[in-house]
Amino acid sequence: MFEVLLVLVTCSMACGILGPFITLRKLSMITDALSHSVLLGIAVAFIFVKDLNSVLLLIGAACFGVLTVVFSEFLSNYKLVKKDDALGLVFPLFFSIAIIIITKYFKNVHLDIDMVLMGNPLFAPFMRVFNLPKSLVIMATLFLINLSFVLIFYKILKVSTFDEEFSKIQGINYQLIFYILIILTSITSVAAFDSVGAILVISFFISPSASAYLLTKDLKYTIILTLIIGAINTIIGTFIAYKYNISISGTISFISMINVLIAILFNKKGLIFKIIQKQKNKKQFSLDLILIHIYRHKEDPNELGISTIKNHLNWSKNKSDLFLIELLTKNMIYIDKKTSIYQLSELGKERIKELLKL
Amino acid sequence: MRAIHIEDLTVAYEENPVLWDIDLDIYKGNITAIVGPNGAGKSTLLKAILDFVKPLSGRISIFDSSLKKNLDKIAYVPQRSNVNWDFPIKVFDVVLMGRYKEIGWFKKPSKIDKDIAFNALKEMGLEKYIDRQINELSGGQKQRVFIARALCQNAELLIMDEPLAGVDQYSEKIIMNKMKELQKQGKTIVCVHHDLNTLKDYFDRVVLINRYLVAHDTTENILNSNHLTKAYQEVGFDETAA
Ligand SMILES: Nc1ncnc2c1ncn2[C@@H]1O[C@H](COP(=O)(O)OP(=O)(O)OP(=O)(O)O)[C@@H](O)[C@H]1O
Ligand SMILES: [Mg+2]
Repeated sequence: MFEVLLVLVTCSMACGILGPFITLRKLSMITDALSHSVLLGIAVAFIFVKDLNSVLLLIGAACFGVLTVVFSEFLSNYKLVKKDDALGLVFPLFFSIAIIIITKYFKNVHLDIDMVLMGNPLFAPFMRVFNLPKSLVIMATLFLINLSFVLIFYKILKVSTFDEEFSKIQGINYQLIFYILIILTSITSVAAFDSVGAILVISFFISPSASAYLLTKDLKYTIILTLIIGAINTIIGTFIAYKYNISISGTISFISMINVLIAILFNKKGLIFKIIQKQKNKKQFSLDLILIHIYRHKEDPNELGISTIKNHLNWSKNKSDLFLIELLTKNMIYIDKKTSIYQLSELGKERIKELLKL
Repeated sequence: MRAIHIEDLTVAYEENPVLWDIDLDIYKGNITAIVGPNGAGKSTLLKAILDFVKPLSGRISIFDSSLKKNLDKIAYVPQRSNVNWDFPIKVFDVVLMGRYKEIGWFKKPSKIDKDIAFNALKEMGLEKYIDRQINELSGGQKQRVFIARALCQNAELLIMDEPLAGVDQYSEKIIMNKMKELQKQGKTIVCVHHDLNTLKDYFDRVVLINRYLVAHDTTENILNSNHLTKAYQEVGFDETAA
C-alpha cells in the first residue's frame, strides 16, 4: 500500500504544479479533452508499431495531446470560436477519427483508451524499474521537470498568464512559454493516465488548484497550497479506499471535490465567513448609522428629537433605544437638554471622521 | 529629435481599414496628446506603434531604430486592461512587475525594487491598497495601478491610452504633474486624451486624427485653428487636396 500511495502522491504533485497555470488560463477542460483526443495518437502509433505494449503508443498519445491544443489555439486565434469551444470542437474530431481508424482497420485488436491509458494505481507496484514501481520513477521525473520549469520561468509564467500585452512589451515570447506549458501538461497527463487513470488525473489537475485559489490571493502560495492540498486529498482518499475496500480513484476524486466545497464555504469571501462577518458588522453598522444620521442632520429638531429619531430611521422603538443607549453610555452622543435633541460628542465626531475617510 | 517616426502607415482590421496613410513624427521630450472622436483610430495607432496589430503598409521607427531594440525603453498603459482580473495577485505585485525586466527574469526583486514600486503606488495615492487582490479595486483605482506600474519601468517613452479616463480630478492633477516631472527628466510622453478643455494645461503638442491625420501642431496652434472642428466631423472629400 505504501508504494501505491507514493505513486499517487507523486502523480498528484506532478499534475498539481502545472494545475494553477492551466486553470488561470481558463483551460481547465484541457485534461478532459486530452484524455479522449490522445486515442488518435495511440491509433496512429499502432499503425506503425503493431504492438499494444510499445512505449511508442504513449509517445504518440503525447504528440497528439499537443496537437489538440495547437489546433484549437489555431481555431480560436481567428476569433470565430471561443477558446474552450475550440477545444470542445477539436477533441471529438480527433476522437472520432481515431474510432474510425480503429473500427476500420483494427477491429480484432483490443485497442481502446482503456487498454492503453486506463491505469490503475493498484497495479503500479507490479511494473518495476530499479526495484521501484515504474510509474513512480516516471511521475517523479515529470514532477522534477515540471517543478524546474515553474521555478525557473516563474516570473515569465506569472507575467504572461496575468497580462499578455504587457509581456509582449517586456519582450517575452509568451507563445513559446505557452506551448512549453502545454507540452508538459500533455506529457504529464498521458503518463498519469497510464499510471492512475483519466478521472483521477483530471481531478489532480483542477481540484487542488481550485481549492488553493479560493484560499489565497498570491500566486506563490496558490502553487504551494495546491501541492499540499493535492497530497493531503490523496493520502486521505487512499486510506479511506483501503479501509472500506472501494475504488481509490473514485475516493480521491470525491475527497477532492469535498475539499473544494469546504474551501468555497470557508474561504475569506466564502459563505460561512460572510455570515459570521455580517453578524459582527451588523451592530457596529447600526451604531455608525445613527452617528452619521446625527451628523448629517445637525441640530434638526425633527430628525434628531428624542422621540422622533426612530421614525426617521424607520426602526422599532426597541431597536433604536438599544443602540442609542449604547452610544450614550459610550459617550459618543449626548442629549441637548434645552432642545431635547441628540448631539455628537467629541468622541462621536472622531468616529465620523474615521468613517468618512476613504 | 524624433521619438517615434511613422511613414505611410495604413492599418486595417480584417478587411476594414481604420487608419489611412499616416505620416507622423512624435518629438522627444514632449508631452503629446492624441485627439479624435470615438472610433477615430487612436488606440489602433498606439497598437500599431507597439506592433500589437500588423499594418497593411508603412514603416514605424522608435528612437530611429526598431521597436524590438527599444522595448525596454517603452511603457504602455492600455485603454482597458485586458489582464486576467481573477489572477491571484496583489496590487503591490502588479506594480512590482514593472521592475521585472530590470531585475532580470530569473532573479529576485531587491529591497530597492520594492521601494520603487511602493513609491510609485504612493504617488498614485494607493499605498493603502497594496495588499488587495487586483480586482478588489474600483475602476479608477485599477487604472492608477497600471499607471504606477508604468512609472516603475523607468521608461524613456511612455505611451498611454486615455490614462485619465475614469480617474477623479484630484488624481488627474497628480498624474499630469508627474508627467511634467518626467518630461523635465527628458522623457517622451504620448497620451490619448478626450478632454479638450485641459489640452492647453497638460500638453505641448496635439495630434488630431480621424481615420487619417488631420493635423499635428503645438497645442496653441491647434486650438487657434479650425482643425478641431474638422477632426470631429465626418471625413469628407477635400477638394483642395485632390
Ligand atoms: N479588434 C478589432 N476588430 C475589428 N475592428 C476594430 C477592432 N478594434 C477596433 N476596431 C474598429 O476600428 C476603429 C478604430 O478603433 P480604435 O479603438 O482605434 O478607436 P479609438 O480612436 O481609440 O476610439 P475611442 O475614443 O472610443 O477609444 C473603430 O471603428 C472600431 O470599431
Ligand atoms: Mg481608444
